[in-house]
Amino acid sequence: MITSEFLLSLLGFIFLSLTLKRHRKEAWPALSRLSQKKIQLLKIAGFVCLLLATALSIDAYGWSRGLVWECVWLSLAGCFVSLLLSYQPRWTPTTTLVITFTLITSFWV
Amino acid sequence: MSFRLSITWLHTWTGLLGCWLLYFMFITGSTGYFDDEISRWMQPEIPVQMSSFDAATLLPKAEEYLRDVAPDAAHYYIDFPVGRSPFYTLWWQTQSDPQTGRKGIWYNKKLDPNTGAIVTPRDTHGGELLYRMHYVLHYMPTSLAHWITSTAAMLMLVGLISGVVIHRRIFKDFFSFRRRKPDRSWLDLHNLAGVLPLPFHLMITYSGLILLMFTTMLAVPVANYGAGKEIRMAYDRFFSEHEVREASGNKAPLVELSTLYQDAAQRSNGHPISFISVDNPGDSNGIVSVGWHVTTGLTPFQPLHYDAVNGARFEEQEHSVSGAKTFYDTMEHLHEGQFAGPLLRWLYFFSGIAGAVMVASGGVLWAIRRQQHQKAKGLSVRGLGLVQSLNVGTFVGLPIAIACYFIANRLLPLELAGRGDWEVHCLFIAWLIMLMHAFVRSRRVDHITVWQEQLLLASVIFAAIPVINAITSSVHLGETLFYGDWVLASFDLFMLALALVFGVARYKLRAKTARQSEPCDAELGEARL
Amino acid sequence: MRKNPTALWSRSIAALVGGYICANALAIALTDVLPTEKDSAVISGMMMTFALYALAIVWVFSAKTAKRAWLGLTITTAFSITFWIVKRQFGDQP
Repeated sequence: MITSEFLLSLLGFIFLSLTLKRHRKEAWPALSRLSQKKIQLLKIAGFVCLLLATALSIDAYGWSRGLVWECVWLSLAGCFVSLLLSYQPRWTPTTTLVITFTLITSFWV
Repeated sequence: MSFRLSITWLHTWTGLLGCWLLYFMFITGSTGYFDDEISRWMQPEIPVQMSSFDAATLLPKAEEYLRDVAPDAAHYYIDFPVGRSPFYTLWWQTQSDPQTGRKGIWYNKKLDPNTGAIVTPRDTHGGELLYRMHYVLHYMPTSLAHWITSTAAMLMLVGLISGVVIHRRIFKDFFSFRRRKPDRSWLDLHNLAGVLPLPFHLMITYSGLILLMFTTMLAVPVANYGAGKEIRMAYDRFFSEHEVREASGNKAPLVELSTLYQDAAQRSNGHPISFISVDNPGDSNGIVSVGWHVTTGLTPFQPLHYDAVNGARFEEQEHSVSGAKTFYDTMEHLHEGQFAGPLLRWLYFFSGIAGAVMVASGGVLWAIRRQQHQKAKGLSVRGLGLVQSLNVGTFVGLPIAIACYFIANRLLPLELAGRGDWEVHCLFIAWLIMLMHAFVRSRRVDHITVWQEQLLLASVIFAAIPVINAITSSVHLGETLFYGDWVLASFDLFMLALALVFGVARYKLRAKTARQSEPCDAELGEARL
Repeated sequence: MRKNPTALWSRSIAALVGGYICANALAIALTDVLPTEKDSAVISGMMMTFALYALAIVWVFSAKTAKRAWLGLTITTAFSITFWIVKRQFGDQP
């Protein structure tokens, strides 16, 4: 079930959440003071991840099922990230690294 | 009156008016994603399937039975106990009346999946009625129910749109869930339950409205077709599932279905065959369709067709469908989720439950805010008591009532006349009792206590279901886990999970109440100073 | 909200009843404009009414005054019905 679409959606939402100061302070203190430009980059990175996840889903399951599944991944990813940021914000950097690592290895294989 | 305030007022009132009915619709509708499984549990006479379905032995027996009982039928349908369907059922439809054009009646017989023998399960409406109630309600004519549920769905749609509009910080608060502050955490729960499955909520609401539009939006067709025969002909054109091939009237023996079954099984890429359908069996123009659950697109099956006399492959003619029909069909498929595999169906189910949580948390939030307002200003708010009792009596009371439906299925005597109807009466009687409990008890104790009492009852009653199952039938967890019948086992396990959820909710409520009882007095003291 | 209950009742009725009528009138007019065949257009029109109804309701509550809400709904409904009648009368001529 941990497909690359879900992981990409997770990553996308983590990036988007980090564009907000409130979340950055709790989850990734090292990035507390970020320039506007870098925040924009984070936003773009977040949306790119989400779009990529959608494209992969459509590619794997066809247009109709692909879009349905992508809505599922977005909902689940949103839920996961909300819980992460609310209950264990300190785990965010590690989680991001783990997700990125898993994604890279899965694309390599 | 500012825009935001107006829309907030709209959101509050559409939400409050609709929340109890919408909760009922979301809960009963969500059970629909497992209606077959619920029906299966409610018919324990059907033996547990002990091994994979043996089509080689059982299919010829089924054919023989159909030929004996219904040689002149218009349709046969054999439903195999594989994949989603937990039943081995034979269906047949009698011929249409040549004078009135009225379609024939469907009959069915359930069979033992191990031996093919006929089984007579108890009279029950099963999971199908439970899910149908979300749009036909009960104790009223269907069209009235359609109007009422469509109105509720309209309130839901307006609630969703207004909710998104007023949730100004929808992006800033997207990932927030602030615990520990009473009304903030209920608000956050309400927002999360609304925003995270938002695509689902919008889809399910709009598609639900569309599915009932032939009852509720008559102006457009009447304006175009008038109110007489033409409109019915237009509906017939829209809904007709075209016959692949018309009956010729010449008799010809039906080919052996097992050969076609084998052929289809080879082409199905490992998917087990789900059904065999025969149009006009015994006619020279008959067609046999063999289908399995497909994994692409939104239609659940894309069956292969064969000539019913010589067994040759038959290609169905491509016929174009209008854009409007395609959109309608897509909305219908998305709403019903028949195409979904097991994982996606669970997700559909939990999205529906999220919808229920969203409307329930809205109702609770209204009551909490009004109560705080009441405490702070010392005024009494009209209708607060009513809302609080309706809240607990519905949000906890309805699940309790559904549990009683399942228990009634096991405990009502088998020979009772109208047994199926009595199971449903038990559901509504139980709900009425829970509502009365809420109203009567709240005169003596405060509402938090009423919540705790009903949560405790819910926990106990759901835990009781697998126990009662074990005492009264042979499809209990001991048997089902041993044979790996996951449909039946999951039902009992899910009841235990629900018992746990209600138990934890009660525990948390007690802990929160104990924690808040002192600071609350201090706040009041300060307000008075 | 307690300041003007009459306006609120007025808007509620406008939204509930007026919105329904207006949405249906608009849909009837739109059905005649759609380039597809009649059957298809009718179905599309029916499916559209819910979105139009929801929008009408939201619009009624966002209008500056209740009077404006009623006015807007009435004008839209009248326009749609007139359009439909005119098209019926003269639509077959080239």
